[in-house]
Amino acid sequence: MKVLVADDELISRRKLQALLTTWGYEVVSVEDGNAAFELLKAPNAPRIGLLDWVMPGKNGVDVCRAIRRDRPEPYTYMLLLTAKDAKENIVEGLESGADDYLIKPWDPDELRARLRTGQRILQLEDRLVEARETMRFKATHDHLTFLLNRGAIVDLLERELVRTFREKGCTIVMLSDLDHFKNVNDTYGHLVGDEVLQETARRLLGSVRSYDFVGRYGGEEFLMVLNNCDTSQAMLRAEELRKAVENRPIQTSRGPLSATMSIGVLSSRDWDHRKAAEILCEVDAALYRAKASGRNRSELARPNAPCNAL
Amino acid sequence: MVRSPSQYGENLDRASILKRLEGNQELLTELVQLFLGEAPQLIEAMRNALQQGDMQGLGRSAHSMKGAASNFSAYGTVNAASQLENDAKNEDSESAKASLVTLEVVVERLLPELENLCQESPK
Repeated sequence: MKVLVADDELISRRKLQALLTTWGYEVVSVEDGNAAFELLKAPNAPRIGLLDWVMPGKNGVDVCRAIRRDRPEPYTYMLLLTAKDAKENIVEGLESGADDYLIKPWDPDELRARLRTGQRILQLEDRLVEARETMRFKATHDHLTFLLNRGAIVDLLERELVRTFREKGCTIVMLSDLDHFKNVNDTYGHLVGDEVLQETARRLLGSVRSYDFVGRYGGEEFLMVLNNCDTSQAMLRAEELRKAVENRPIQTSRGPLSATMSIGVLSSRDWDHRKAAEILCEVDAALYRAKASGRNRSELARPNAPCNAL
Repeated sequence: MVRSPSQYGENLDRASILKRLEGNQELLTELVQLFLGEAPQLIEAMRNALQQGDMQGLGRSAHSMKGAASNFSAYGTVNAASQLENDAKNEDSESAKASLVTLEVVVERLLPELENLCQESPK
């Protein structure tokens, strides 16, 4: 594990560096607080900082405050090493955001044990963050297709509409629905239906750019939010997605199955700024027209009376 | 207050210094060498700072000397440097002059003691 040592005094710095190296730490050492701060907030920074209090530039306490303010994550474990031994110094040091406080001259056994405590806390922190990220993923993604779930893709659409309206850009919104999907479930069972949904998701994701978004909107409905579009390209893009599903049969455990998809398409530039709910209603109406006109096709939503089906 | 340098006589405890270095004699030698090089420079810097009335610089060097000496539990030097650091903080240049002389005497004595420390290594 990488440890930062900040001490302006040469011998103390060298001593720390030598002992820490013996204990298996990788040591980076600096002579002042400003350098310590820069290193601790850099990418791939040391997770543990051993800071002298009195240093030129930022002192150790300043570094603690600045890191807590500017670098909440990943957590940095900071230990003040100082000759200041008055109770009010200890309190001030800890209140500045230091995790621990050791008075010079420190005992190597004690420092070593306290560093182990630091490592333990960092490991707990890492596990907690990992668990939180897993939960965050689960909360925003569909468990079958791993696409964004309905809540997440609709939130995202809302944000994109606001952003592109502000930046005078445009967003293409597509709502698609697998044709006659109920037949797949009824004929081959839900497990095969799931396989079709998973493969459809893969093909849709594979057909958009890395900065576009695909979500599972409902059972066999998918919502696509495409950025920085050229309005005239909206229908072409929709056709690409439609063909990605139609072109090759989907391999399932019950053999290859053909699938097709109908799509409602909307380009936000053709509309004033509208809420996601209204946009979704309009694009749903276009999808309905695509279905009514024989399925396996794309239909462009056109500005007309506000959608009342909310 | 007049201080006599003799009250700051060092009596370095080799065993306890080594214990703080986990018995690493090579490291002890290296740190002593660093101190032998650094101490005269710090003294020089303190003289200059005092002459120029740079109390902040004086305090910083005194603080460094205190930190450096504390690695060898050289409490006479630590105390003398600490006194000088306080004088600098209080901007008391008269007292600082006296404290610096004391510190110089104490460090003068410390250096050969430190050298002995390295040569004492049991074979």
